[in-house]
Amino acid sequence: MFATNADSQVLSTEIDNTEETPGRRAPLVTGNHTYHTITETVCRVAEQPQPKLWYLLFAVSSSLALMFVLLIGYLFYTGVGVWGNMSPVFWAWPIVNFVFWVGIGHAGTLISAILFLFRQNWRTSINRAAEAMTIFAVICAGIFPGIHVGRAWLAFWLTPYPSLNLWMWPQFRSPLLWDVFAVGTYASVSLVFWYMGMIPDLATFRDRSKHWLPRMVYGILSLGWNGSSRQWLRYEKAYTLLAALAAPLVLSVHTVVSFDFAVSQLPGWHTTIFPPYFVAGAIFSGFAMVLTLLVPMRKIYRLENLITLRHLENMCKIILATGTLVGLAYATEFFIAWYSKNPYESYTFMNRAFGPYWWAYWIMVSCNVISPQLFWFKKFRSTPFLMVIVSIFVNIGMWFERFVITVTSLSRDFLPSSWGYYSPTWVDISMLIGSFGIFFTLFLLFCRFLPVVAMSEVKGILAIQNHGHHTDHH
Amino acid sequence: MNPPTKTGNGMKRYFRSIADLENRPEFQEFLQREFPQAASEFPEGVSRRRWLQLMGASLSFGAASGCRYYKEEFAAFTAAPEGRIPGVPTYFATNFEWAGRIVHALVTSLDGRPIQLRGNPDHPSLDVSAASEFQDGKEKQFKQVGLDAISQASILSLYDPDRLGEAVAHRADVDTASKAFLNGEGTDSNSYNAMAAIVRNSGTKMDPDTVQELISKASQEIASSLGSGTAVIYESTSSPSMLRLLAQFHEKYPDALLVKYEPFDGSPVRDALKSLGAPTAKLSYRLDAAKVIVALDADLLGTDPMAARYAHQFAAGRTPDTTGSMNRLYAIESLYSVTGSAADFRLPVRSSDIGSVLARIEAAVDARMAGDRAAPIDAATPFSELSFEDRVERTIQSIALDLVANEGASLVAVGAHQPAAVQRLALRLNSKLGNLGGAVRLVDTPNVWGQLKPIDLAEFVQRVRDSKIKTAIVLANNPAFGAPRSLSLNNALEGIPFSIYLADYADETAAVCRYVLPAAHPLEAWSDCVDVDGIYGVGQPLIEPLLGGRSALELLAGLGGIPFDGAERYVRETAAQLAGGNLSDRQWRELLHSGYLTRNLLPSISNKDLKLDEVASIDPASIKQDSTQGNLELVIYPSDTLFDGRLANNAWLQELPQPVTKLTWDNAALVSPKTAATLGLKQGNKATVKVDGFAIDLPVFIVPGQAEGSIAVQRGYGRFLAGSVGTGVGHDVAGWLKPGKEPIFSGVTVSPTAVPYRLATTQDHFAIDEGGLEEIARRTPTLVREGTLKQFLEHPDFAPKTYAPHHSNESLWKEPIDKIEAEMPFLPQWGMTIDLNKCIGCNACVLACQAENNVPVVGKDQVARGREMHWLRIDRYFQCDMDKTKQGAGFDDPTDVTIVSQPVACVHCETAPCEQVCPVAATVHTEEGINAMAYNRCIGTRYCANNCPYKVRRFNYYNYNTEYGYFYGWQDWREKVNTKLQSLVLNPEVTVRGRGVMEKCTYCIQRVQNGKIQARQQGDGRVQDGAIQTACQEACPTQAIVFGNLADPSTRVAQLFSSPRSYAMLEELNIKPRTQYLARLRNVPDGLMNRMQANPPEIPDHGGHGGHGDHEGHSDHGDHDHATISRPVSNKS
Repeated sequence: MFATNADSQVLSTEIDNTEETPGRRAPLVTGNHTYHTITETVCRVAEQPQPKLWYLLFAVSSSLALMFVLLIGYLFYTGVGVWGNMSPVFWAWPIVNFVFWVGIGHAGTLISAILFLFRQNWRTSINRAAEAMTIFAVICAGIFPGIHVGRAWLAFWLTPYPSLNLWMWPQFRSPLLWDVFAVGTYASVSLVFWYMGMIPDLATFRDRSKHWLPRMVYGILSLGWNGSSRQWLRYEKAYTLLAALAAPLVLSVHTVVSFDFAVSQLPGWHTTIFPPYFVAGAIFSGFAMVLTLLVPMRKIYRLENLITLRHLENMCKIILATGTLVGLAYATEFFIAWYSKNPYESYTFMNRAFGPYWWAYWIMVSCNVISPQLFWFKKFRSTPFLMVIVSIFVNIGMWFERFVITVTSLSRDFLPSSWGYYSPTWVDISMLIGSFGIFFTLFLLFCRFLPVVAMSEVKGILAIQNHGHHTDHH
Repeated sequence: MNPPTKTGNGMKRYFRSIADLENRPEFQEFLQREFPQAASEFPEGVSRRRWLQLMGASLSFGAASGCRYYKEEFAAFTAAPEGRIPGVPTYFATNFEWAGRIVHALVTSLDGRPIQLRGNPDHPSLDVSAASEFQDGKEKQFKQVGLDAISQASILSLYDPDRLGEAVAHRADVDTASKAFLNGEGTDSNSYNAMAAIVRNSGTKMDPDTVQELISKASQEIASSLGSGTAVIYESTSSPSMLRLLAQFHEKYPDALLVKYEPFDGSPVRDALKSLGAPTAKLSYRLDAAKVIVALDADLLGTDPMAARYAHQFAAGRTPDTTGSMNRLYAIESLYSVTGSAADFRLPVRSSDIGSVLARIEAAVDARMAGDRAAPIDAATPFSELSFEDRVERTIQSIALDLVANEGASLVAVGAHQPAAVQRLALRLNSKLGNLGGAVRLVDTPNVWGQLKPIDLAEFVQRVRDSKIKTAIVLANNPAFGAPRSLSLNNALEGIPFSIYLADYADETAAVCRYVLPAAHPLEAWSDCVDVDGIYGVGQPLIEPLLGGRSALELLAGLGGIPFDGAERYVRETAAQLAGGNLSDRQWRELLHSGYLTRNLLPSISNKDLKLDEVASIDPASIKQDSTQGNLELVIYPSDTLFDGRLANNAWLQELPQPVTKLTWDNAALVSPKTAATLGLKQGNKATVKVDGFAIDLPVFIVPGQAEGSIAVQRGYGRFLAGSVGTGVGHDVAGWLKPGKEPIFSGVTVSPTAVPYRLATTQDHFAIDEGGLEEIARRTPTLVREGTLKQFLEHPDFAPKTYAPHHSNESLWKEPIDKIEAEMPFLPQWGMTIDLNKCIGCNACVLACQAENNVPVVGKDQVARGREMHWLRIDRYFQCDMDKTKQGAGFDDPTDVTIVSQPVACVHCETAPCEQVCPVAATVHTEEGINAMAYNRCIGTRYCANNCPYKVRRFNYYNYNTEYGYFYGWQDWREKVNTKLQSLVLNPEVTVRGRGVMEKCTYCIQRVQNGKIQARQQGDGRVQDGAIQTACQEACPTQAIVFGNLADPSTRVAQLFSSPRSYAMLEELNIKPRTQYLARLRNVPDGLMNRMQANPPEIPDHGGHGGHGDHEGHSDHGDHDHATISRPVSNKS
């Protein structure tokens, strides 16, 4: 039924490597893994027939993805009035979804680039899946602003291209334009980074393929990788360079997304805390999504010894830290609203907490501020099941955070005559669900066809671990 | 069952015959779709050639300017007439009767197509005696008289594809089902369509020849019976030609019955005048002649048919800046009306108690006149501390003091729905005060053509029951719906063997008449009228009848066999006789050109002619504030927008927010918050209202300031055969009306139901949480600045100073506009002021903007979603005494409620937040300071709208303007209609926006450009002040809106910018709006001030703070180039 390890010497049981032993580094790969068993374990995820559960999940998520595509067709055909957007809430769920997905897309590059630069070796087991998740989340995120504009067929006017019949450039003062660049850069760099990191593993897949078709496809994708020292040397250099390039993007992309709000003058949007607050929130939600995906994945594909409890625990700690940062940001917003004596801003924040959208605000607070605090308890940090529950709460909370920021601020701004109450339509709801369909479809395909763990890198830390007594005293 | 679809156009004959026999509604529908009739599918039904003919015809008399109207001239141009420039509009003066009002209009005709109406600025009856607002007396240049929304909307009705386009002969037997339906059974919305289809299809179309035959046959029949058994139902009219024709008809057939129908019979007023010995007198007011106006349940500025004129006169007394004084308007009324919201002081009192109030006022006036006339009233206790009874008493004392002090210059008006006894009392009081002939005008309107002795509808119905009527000619507009249901006019008309109805639509009356002939729109026919000032005006056709209608004159002349050489000749004969016997061609052309005859036709009536001594006094009963079951009262009042319901198919009017409730597409039972709480009524739920055992379920709408225990509901809604726009909109309450009885009912019971009902309002006050309400109350004084006249005289600049921001606004970088102003001082810089002291919130500007700028109608569903498209909206805020409200019952019973209104359109910020965030530069600033929209460049990110603090930007969520919005009709079938109407009524000067595009007020940039072109052609290129008027400005009856060039310090707008009352809304955002408001002032008597008015907020002393000293800076313009540019809050001036 499930993919199993062929080699009997590899332990298939969960090993708790979260205990801190003074003077000794905890192992990052458990269960007597060798180079060979790692290759076997990871390759078989794609090589063996997928479990029935995969087919079930794929059927569901691809149907939802199809629904999403059809709904986009309906939207283009009819007009953006199919959503609940109205005056004054001109931006609603589509933008909430956009920011939500962009935020999710943060963890991957953070894990692969920043943790790489900081030599955090525990990243190796999770970076591939996290990066894949990033790409897919950015795809989901990219769809929304594109279809959100009133005349989607002209959305390309957002890009600066020399046009002979128009003689004009986009308006560079608009944060929306900055967004186009920020998200575009982020998506392309993430993709290149992900793909480049995958080349040695793709070559492994190529070499193990028994059928000509995968051999050809993986062969093309692995760009003639033969594992020579020269190739490794250049690969490592390029990877480090790309990581250095990607690292600032982790901060920049959500900072720029937050400018969409912060640069406007709407009370509740116009706050200088937004860039750090958005970045913290994005890392927070990104790690929560990585947890949500990896816990079931390591279980289904028996990757517990590669993606160990210690990996999960580390992520829990990051969630705890960023969650607390986010909570601090909420408190700061309130403090500033009071301290600034700006009547519009103070009202906006009172209205968030006690106005007609109070429920959204308190869902956000309980999910984002209270639930990650559970990770103070070791029990929660070391029980995968509980982690998933908390991380799902965090994901819900982070969606609501964007809802609260976008919708409640817009619904009551300066002139009370224009206040309104927004409620979504069935299209709004279906499109949110549909975007999850796209996301999971892509992720399932990733599990099916691509190396889910960066084998070559894991082997690298296996070496360090096996020869620990040599390296420790350098 | 549909016939086989494959037959298509080549459908075989027998299929049609068989199904025709069956006459199923679905087949009829199919037929209509398959063979589109002009009526249902216009404009597709009118061929291109026919359209060119129509246009050509209208153009030819457009060019002749004498407007000779010969049927022969039906040719398209082969050579262009001399002097005609394509695309340059021509203007025609015309006068016509429309929904109870007399419209003196100047019609804009573009290439032969009338597209817009505005008030005729030269019309003498719109002159007011006003103090000069200008140092240099530039009134003439700015002469704008305004036109009310209903009159303006007549242009949309002209192009209504639902208008009857073909004569119909009905089967003698109308289906029993439809009969039951028309009798008021089964009026749920589901059955509307089915029933409407049955009624619509129960007839056969008649071609023009058949109609001619019918008319001549009918004419012979009437002649053969010498008119006995014939009844002519006509609507009360001032038209001399119509009255002359009726007199001729009456002379020829003395036995024929003339039935006069009045949709809102002013019968109490008429009864009162009759009993005073002036049966043919007509009552009107001159508000500009009154210093004190007491409106007792009288909505002079709102639903009154003469409201626009009254508003115009009223505003003449609202210029405190130059005169230091203002007129004073008291409103004592049950429902919150436009007059109430414009009033200086308002007291909510039930309509049934108005008589008592008036009697007490009279007693107080008598006492004062006999004793110490100027004795001060006892105002020791602040007004806010008084009980209700004491408030009433003090109000009465204060009114009496003012009335006596302004003897001969005051006015007591009573609503036309108040009983005759109250009307008589008001006349007596006015006479005592010497107001008759001054602010209160009584003119005699005798029929100079002969006595008609018309009967009323009740008597007509009785005659029908006695089988005395064989032939009925219905010239009135839809009496079957407008008349009280208890008359059973439907059944009466249905029982008449031969009836001809001149119909605008296939409406409720058409359904019960044997023959229905299409009527011409007033803009398609010759007519005339005399207004209350006795000024005669001619209505000239602006276009050949689009749908082949005829006028009432033509039909009646034909049926009566009266010699009639065309309506134009007939009207001209009438005019000649009224002018003193003869009108030369030149004089006739002059009359058509100016639109009026300068000769007063109606003599005034003075006190001496009235038997006022015989007026019985009313015993003042105690004034109740009772909201318990059975003690409630119900008041049915005319619709703000639909009149008696005849305008129900006018989408502009349906979507026009009602001034106080901001409701669209509906009527509702209005109750005060306390009454609602007492009775357990919830906003948005239906309640069963029962009067005289007859119950109707109505949605509840809570209006603070409504009198306790008084329920108000508009009539005119709930049409079941109105057309595709108006059918089934709202609730029909005519079932409660009784002929000859005032629409004020007592002994009403109301029980809440749990049935939710969706009301579409454009503003949602008092449906929101308490925190929100508190915030609104806290915020509105800074947005809509208001003070008392007293406060203004002490601190003229209280408005900009009281709420000025505590920090100075300074930009971090140089604004581009600074450079433009410095380098190009010759460029005009456009700006606008809106005087809240004059604005009454009447909606005329909203409709004018809609007509001018091709603003689409979106339908009820979209309005409920908050997607209305009006570029110009009127914000309405309720204000109350917060502290007292919180101490008391909270928002269930707000204390001292007042209303402020504020028109808001794009204010054209100099540092516009919308422009900075648009990623594609679709909204940009012109060098003349207009925040412009490039629709073609807009991709619809909607970021600009988010960043607009005024929320004046409107987004096209669907294709509201064309038919290409696929799937769009699904949401609301009503919306589809809009797409067709628009194509003909559209202003070709303004781009029609498609879906996905943002739009907003452009300061009527098309008018600005035209004005500039004209200035270049005719002068040195400098635009004269007042030469460019925006559509809203032109329509405003009170001249509250002024537009012009701020860069020229001599312009009116620049002067008003530097008025001490001038302030910028949300100035603290440093966006420098080009539209500024002038603060509102209430001339509240000292003893009647509420806490807020008695203790206005203190003006903070900002000392040498440069930011606020700008108003003084305006006096020395010569020093710097751009001193007059809107720098109300900057540090630069």
